[in-house]
Amino acid sequence: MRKCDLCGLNEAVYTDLSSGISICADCLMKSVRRRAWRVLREELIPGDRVMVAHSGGKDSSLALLLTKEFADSHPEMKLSLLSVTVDEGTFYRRASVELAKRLASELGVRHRTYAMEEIHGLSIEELDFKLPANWKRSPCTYCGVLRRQALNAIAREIGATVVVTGHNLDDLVQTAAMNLSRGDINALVKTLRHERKIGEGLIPRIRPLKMVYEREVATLVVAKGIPAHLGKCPFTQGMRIGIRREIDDLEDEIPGSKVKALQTFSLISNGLHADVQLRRCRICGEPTTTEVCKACQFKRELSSLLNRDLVHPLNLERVRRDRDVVWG
Amino acid sequence: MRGTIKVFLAGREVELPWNTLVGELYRMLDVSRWSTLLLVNGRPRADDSYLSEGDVVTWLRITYHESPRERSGEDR
Ligand SMILES: [Zn+2]
Ligand SMILES: [Zn+2]
Repeated sequence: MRKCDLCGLNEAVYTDLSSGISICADCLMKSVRRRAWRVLREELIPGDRVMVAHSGGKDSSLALLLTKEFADSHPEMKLSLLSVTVDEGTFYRRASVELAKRLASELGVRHRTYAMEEIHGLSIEELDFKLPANWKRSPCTYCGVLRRQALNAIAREIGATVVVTGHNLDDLVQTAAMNLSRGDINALVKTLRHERKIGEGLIPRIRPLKMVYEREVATLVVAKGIPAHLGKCPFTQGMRIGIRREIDDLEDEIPGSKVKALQTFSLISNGLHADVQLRRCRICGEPTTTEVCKACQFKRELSSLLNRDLVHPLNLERVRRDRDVVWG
Repeated sequence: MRGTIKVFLAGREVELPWNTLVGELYRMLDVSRWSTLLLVNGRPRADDSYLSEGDVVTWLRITYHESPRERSGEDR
């Protein structure tokens, strides 16, 4: 058995190519926890009501687990935790919603599921069924925009002060590289800089796994048996495959380059001035940079296709009713 | 000492040199370590651990994630 280079006790499950050492699941967990807690320590403030955007996938499940551990070990911070799943209404999501519920319950964290259909008036399954084969956008494009808007609206209406997401190092480096290659400074700054005061109904986001490789997350979830969905969403499109491959190849040649890249992008973005004027969407009232938000633009496009009017404010009634009970 | 071992790769029995490391399988299978996690008998293993006779190797796609923000304003 190949033993862990750090503790010398357990079987090694992960090789860190930049240091050349192989470690066991316990030592990997310690290392990941240290990185995640550093982010949480820097970005959470005492009394925060933390909503974890918990899809039931591997990343957000690990983010929930580490945030819960952090809250339990820092009682002086008086953090309240809530796990929320947006059910897009796909076959794929059904399994992960169940896993999200199970993990939340095992951790003793309150959990709520809100359906995309209830909030936006349409499900992604319906879209997949009704979108013509040659349609200009994939269900994935609509899903991303509608889900993100729903999560922010839920967080705001349920009274969360901050949202924790499962985005990992790979996600962020890819996004930053894409922002950079498009010359989109505003997006770069917003991707990397944590700001507490955003305004206009936008709830700040924290990404505890931002210094954790996706591969580390997957290894931990499997090795530790953390309830999480590991499947691939059938709707995921290959839009960022090219840039991902370049970054992965670079990491193979120069181990540690993803970490260095994210640190450099973050330093650059700290010196930049983002010129974004947030306002409320004329139709739904959600935060946006344009007169009509992207979600409403998409829903307008879909209304004719689905033969009903989808362009209206989000239905957040059940969320508002939950506000008084979920924080215990 | 034997020169080769037999392992099961995605359900197929293959013969490999006795000193094959888990990490070498990524190249053999032509999969990226950043999008795929190899499991030996259902468990992750360090790249520098040796395969043994009768090991069952499977793999898992690990890259599924939405982006935090594809473009400024797109999710707003
Ligand atoms: Zn160890
Ligand atoms: Zn709108």
